[in-house]
Amino acid sequence: MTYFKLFATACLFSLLIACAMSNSEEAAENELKDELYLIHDEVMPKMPEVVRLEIELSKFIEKDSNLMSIIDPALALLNKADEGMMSWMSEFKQPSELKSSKSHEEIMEYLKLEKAKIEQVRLDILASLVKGNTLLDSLKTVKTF
Amino acid sequence: MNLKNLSFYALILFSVIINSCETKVNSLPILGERDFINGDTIYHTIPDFSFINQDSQIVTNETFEGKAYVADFFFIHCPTICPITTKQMLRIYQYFENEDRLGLIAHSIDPVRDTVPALKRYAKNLGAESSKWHFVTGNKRDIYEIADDYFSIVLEDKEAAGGFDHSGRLILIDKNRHIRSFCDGTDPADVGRFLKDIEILLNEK
Repeated sequence: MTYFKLFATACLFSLLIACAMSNSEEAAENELKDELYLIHDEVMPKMPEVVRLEIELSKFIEKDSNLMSIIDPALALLNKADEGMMSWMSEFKQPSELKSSKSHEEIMEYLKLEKAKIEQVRLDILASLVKGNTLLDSLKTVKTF
Repeated sequence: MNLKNLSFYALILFSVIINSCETKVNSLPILGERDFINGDTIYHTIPDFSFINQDSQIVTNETFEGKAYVADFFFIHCPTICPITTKQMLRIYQYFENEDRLGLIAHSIDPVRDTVPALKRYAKNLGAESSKWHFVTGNKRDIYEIADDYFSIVLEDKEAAGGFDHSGRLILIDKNRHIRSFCDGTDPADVGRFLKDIEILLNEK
């Protein structure tokens, strides 16, 4: 009986420790996910401006194809930023979706990689907006269609 | 006249006065810019549009002829705002499901990934009938330009990117293509107020 009590107590403690570890693992995953979303939430509102610049710069090319060589580099950056964000969002998997197939360590690695990806998307968006807006302003000054 | 009759007539008079003092909203204002030409007021109207819905049907302004409709902008893989606003659009859809004078149109701003089959699956998961709730895709420029048109009316901040921000607004358009109301689709209380606005519009003479 004493051995049974010891065994039962050991099982109970193991269960409690496992639960605590699981909760702390989930907390760590959610914390990293939240950091990732902070980066996303910073630049997502800028996406309409990215698309607006793509449209406005394309209109200049449509009116004067000689401007293509000047505008294309900025347009390429904007397209890359646009596609980068949209494809990142479509491919990103929530930790809860990965639990059945990945360990905690694998999920954390995945989230770290995704955080690096969205950080690059953020940089691409910000850089493309600077280049795009600067070019648009100079085109508007020179060209009056 | 005895006291009892006097009290009765006083009560009637009091009720008439109170009812005539109540402010009842019978119509919604027409939002947006307006011009005055030859004594007439010309209100902003939603421009012509043509998109494709989840059944590969072409959806234009004529699709909503004689109807009011609610418009929003979304994309399927949106992780945060869109699921909340789509839930509120579903609320509107269910509330007015049997009202033939109201339609809904959800424009995808990601035509690359939100293809017709993807929109079909999305709409089916919501239980949306395509004759009432159109999930549309099309040329990205056309979608953004019409979004700019809708949102330039409803946004106070003209500095917002292209007049369109990713804030989940829902917009009410009447049968004459005028914008009559809008709400924050992420705020259930504001959508509640918007539902009442839709009812007011549908009951306008």
